[in-house]
Amino acid sequence: MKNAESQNPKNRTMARLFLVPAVLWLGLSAGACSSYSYYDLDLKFGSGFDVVKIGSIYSCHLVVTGASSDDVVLDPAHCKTATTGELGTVEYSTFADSGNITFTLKAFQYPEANPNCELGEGSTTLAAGNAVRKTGTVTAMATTPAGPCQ
Amino acid sequence: MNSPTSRIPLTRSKLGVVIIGGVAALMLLSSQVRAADPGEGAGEFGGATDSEKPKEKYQLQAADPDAPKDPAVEAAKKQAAAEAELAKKKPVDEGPPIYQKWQFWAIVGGVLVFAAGAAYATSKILHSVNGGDVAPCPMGYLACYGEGR
Repeated sequence: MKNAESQNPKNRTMARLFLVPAVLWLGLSAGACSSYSYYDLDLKFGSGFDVVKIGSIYSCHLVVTGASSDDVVLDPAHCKTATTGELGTVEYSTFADSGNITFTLKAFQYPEANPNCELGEGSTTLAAGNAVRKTGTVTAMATTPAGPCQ
Repeated sequence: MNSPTSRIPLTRSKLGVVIIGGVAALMLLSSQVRAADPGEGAGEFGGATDSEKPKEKYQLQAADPDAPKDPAVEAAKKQAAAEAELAKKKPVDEGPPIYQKWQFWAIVGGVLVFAAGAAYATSKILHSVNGGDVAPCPMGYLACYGEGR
């Protein structure tokens, strides 16, 4: 049996006015709380990278795969001047909160579109988490190209 | 035994009583007659004639449908009727328009303030739900990348 008040159109409109924000609020609450996770990565050029090779770097990429995907182009000026092999620390933020995230450092000569122009690469894999801060080291090792870089 | 001196006052007093009684009877009789028939009484004293008697009341005869009608009069009648109808249909004066009432602007202002507040709160809530502000890039770091940057 329906209540007589609920059949009044005015009351129904008022009920909707309060119901819509309430449902919206509940919906927002239900899907709430994405949190950033931070990964502090120490980037290095390892074995095989000498001063000449580092100085020939045209571009550096930090490729992110796994729970998060990205292709970060690092400042080439930083890469080619890191003659000591210590590039520096970068921070990567993501909402990924499960699985693994793999960070890969790649260095290229010009033209980088040619696979033979890759100077070397290295990667590290970290477990993703919700609102965590993790550290890792990514050391790129020099590779021998299959052919000439042209 | 009765002396003439004593007889005369008695006779006079009796005569006076008779005269007064007769006048009173006449007056009584005339008032009764006047009450019974005022029309005749009025005629008695005012000298009214038959022509001045109240006439029989007549009712006005309805308009003669056969009588010739004046078009101007008919038009005027129609116009008067139309005007009367229009006057009936005129809306009742309900005071000044709603936008000239302070209650209207109070409600509008309240709604606008509420909407602005709701929009601001919603944006803040959505921003917070979507992770909020990303942390600032730490000092000494080469650079910071990823979501929120």
